[in-house]
Amino acid sequence: MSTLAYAWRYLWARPMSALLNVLLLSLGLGSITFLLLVSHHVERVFERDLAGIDLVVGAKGSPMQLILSGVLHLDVPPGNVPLVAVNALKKNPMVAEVIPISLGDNLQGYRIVGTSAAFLKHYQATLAQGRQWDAPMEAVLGATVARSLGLQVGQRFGGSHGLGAGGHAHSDQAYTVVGVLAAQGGVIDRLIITDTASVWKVHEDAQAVDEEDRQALEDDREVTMALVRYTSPLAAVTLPRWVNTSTDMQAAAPALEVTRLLHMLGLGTDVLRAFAGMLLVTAGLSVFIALWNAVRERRGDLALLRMLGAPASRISALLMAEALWLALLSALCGLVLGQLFVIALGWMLGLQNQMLATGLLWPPTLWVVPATAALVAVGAALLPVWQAYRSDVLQLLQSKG
Amino acid sequence: MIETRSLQFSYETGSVLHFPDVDVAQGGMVLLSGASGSGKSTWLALVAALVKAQAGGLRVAGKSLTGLSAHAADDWRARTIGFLPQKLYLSAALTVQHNLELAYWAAGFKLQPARIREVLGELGVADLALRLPAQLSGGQAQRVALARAVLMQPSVILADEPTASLDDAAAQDAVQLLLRAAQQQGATLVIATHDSRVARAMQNSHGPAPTLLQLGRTFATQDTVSSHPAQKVAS
Repeated sequence: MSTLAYAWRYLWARPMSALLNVLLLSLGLGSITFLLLVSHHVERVFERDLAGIDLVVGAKGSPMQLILSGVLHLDVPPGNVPLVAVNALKKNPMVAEVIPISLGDNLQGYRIVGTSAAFLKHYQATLAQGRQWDAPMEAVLGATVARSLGLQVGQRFGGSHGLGAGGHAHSDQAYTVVGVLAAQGGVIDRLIITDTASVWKVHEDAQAVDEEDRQALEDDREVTMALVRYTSPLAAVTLPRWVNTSTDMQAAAPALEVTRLLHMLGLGTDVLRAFAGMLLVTAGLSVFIALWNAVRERRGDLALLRMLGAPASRISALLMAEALWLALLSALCGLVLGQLFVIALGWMLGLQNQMLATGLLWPPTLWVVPATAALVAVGAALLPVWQAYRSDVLQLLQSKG
Repeated sequence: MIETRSLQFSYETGSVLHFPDVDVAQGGMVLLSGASGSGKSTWLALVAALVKAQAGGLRVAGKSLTGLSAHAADDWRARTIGFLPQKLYLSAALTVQHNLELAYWAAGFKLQPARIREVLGELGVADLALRLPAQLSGGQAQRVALARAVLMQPSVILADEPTASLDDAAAQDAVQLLLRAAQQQGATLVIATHDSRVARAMQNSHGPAPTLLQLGRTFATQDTVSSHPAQKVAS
């Protein structure tokens, strides 16, 4: 048997102690894995879903709420803005593109987004089935929506009022599914996308009592917000200020708001990181105590190995190998545990139709986990290994073990 | 062979042990006795090159151990010394087979499974190879430990209180096994003990007369032992 094989046998000669150490280390490493994966996922989501959007313009209120509701579809929007104001924005020379977003209804918690064809183009969405809408009350489903609700091209559905499940149903206004998008792993997967005119039609039909009333509603049409792309980066200096001061709308820059959000999330992750650190320190102490006791219990065995010709370095290597086994096992368990935590989180958030988090990722930062495991285990083993290296064989012979 | 001249060892506490000179031919036997603290374990450790003498000469199996580096001492010990400790130190986590394999690992030698089978067979414990130490009787464990001691065909076998806590029959058996193993291999056998049964068993054996080396006070000399008795002198 090799040094590693003997170390393995010695490690499991004390199964309870080995299990406890693996468990403690795994919990700490699992927490770190979880934090790293969630951070990675959040950054990836922000990078992907916010890409190409320079500014979000909507009703006055919290700018972060605007970003969360209109881009990440996690929050409710602060209100609506007049269509004429958004159309006026299109004429601004600093604006290259304006994509309107109209929210208000949902299907079993999945948001129905009224927009233009530019929305699909912006997200580089491709159709897995069917076609894009070409008339009001035709809808294209995100991949998650289609899979989750089991809707197929040709089927009809009616939306409910509000952005969460449980609002009153627009049973008299049914949408027809004309297409299903290919899965992207982004926010668009969990949206139901239709023409802005569909959203107006649903609400105007529900609210108008006569033709005159309908005409009045048409004249006062609104959208929830607009995604804006600049013609030049210089627009970032003036356009948001112009919107905020010269119109009744609010402009929110996704880059700024996401930085703020990540900072706020960072405070939370710092607490979790500190907790994981505490777990790791505890685990390190536990490994230290276990190895220290192992050296004490096996002083005679170790002395015998010296009598059999083992250099002190080989005996030290044996103990270090035990620590490294602990590190390896704990790193594996911690990584699996962390991935399971993330999968569980994704499942829970998926149920709530919020941001998805998927496990089984291996971002390069995850190498921190095995490195930390090795560091903790080797650090905890140093003193016991030194003790074994320096053990006085003569004293052991005299004491008869 | 074991040859010592004016051998002296100093403890960290400052006390110094002076050992009597001894000449034991290859294949000879030494009965090392003395009260607790008389230096038996230290003498064994010196002969095994585990510790260094501060003064005097020591040659074992044709090699002068004075001035041997730690690395050379480890290598020499692995090739030359077989050790049977009082407490057997069979690793509880390993089977009999693996305990013997551990000796090859410790020595840094290539594993010889055939040799393990041969030694276990010679000592009548071949069928215990897959058992854990906890599944062995005291006598069986003693034989396994002896198998480990003679595995590398050492020139010198050191046994430290091999009969302690054994009944008369088991003690007789243990000594006979040691004598037979040493004779088969032509090894010099050193038994450190204060058990009179060992001396009787050795004297009744058919091998060469044992050299009686008593430490700590005037000792009964035999033809090969001369010079001064070991003394413990405060520095």
